[in-house]
Amino acid sequence: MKKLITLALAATIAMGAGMGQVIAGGYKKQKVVYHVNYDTAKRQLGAMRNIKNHLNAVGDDNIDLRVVMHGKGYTLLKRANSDMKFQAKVIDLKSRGVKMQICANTIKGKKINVKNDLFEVEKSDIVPSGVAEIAHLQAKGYSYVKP
Amino acid sequence: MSNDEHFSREFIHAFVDGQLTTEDKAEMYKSIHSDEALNQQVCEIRKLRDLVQLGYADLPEPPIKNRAMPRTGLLGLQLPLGSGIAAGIALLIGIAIGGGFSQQPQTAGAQNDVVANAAVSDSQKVLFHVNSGKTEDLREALDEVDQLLLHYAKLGQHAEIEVVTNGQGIIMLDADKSPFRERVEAMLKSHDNLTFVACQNSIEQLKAEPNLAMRMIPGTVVIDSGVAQIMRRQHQGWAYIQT
Repeated sequence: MKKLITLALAATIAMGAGMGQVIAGGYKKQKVVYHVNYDTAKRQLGAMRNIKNHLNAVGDDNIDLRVVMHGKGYTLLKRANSDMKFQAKVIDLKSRGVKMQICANTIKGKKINVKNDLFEVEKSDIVPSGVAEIAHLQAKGYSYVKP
Repeated sequence: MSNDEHFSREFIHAFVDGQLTTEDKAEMYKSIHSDEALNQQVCEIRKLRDLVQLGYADLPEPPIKNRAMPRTGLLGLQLPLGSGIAAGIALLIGIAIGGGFSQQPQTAGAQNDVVANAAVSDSQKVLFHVNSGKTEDLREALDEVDQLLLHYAKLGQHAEIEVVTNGQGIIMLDADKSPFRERVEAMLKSHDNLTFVACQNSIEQLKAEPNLAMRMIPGTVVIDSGVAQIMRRQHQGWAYIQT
């Protein structure tokens, strides 16, 4: 019986290898950009729940997932600065490899103090234009999701 | 066929292909607005062109990609292979390079061609989808379009931007009810690479309500279905932004 299981396992692995990037969940490697430009807390929380479920379904190592925030979307990181519920979710997603990116035009236009107003934004998290970044990512093969 | 007196077929094709001067384009838009037959004709040609491009987009690409992409990639440029024209150019480049491999002296020349062609065909194509009729949403959508136009202009990046409105969103282009009529007209005037599109289905739907006759802002392109247009554009390699 043990031998049979081993055989089946070996066959599965061989099949997986033969098919390239297919993993347990049956998904190939994914590249996805999530678009957030709205400020309702409920919708932002919903977006983060979507992302979490997306990661769960595809596997953290099997996906390159980016969140691009611009316009009113910056409030997601503003909330994460003071609202613990938001902060916990942002920390969780980042620890799972999600890149949270924010638009420089928005920061400039809304006179945001990145250090004081937003939760953990590094220089590398800032993109020149949120919309241009989303367009660029799509041209590179990322799928677009606006939850 | 009243429009035949004013515009030749070549002229209309040039319009659809975006090859006219701003003045000619403006005149054309004006005529389209008042001439239903002409509008139909433009619609047909546009559809035909899209179908042709779709056909080319489906050509097998991998061998071309392998040869052409690394060279353009070095410069951080990308060939929008989804569009038929670019695919055609890429094919030529592929052939040029392919020839170059067997005859070493020609390789350098072929590489230069790749660089030149890549720069010409490297155009960012972005579609904004507007389906909300709320004034604030419309304002934000137009702000986003303006910002993106500015961003690309600063970079010297060639770009084509299309704003597709459907559902309640078509109010943006309603000549009588749009809160932003002047702004839309000004944007159209100052940007050759910007198109505003309204969905015919949505117009019909809203028209069906009593006391709602609809006149679109001159320059608006009316297409059969907004959703179909969005699908078409994505298929052609356009980026999609839901505002």
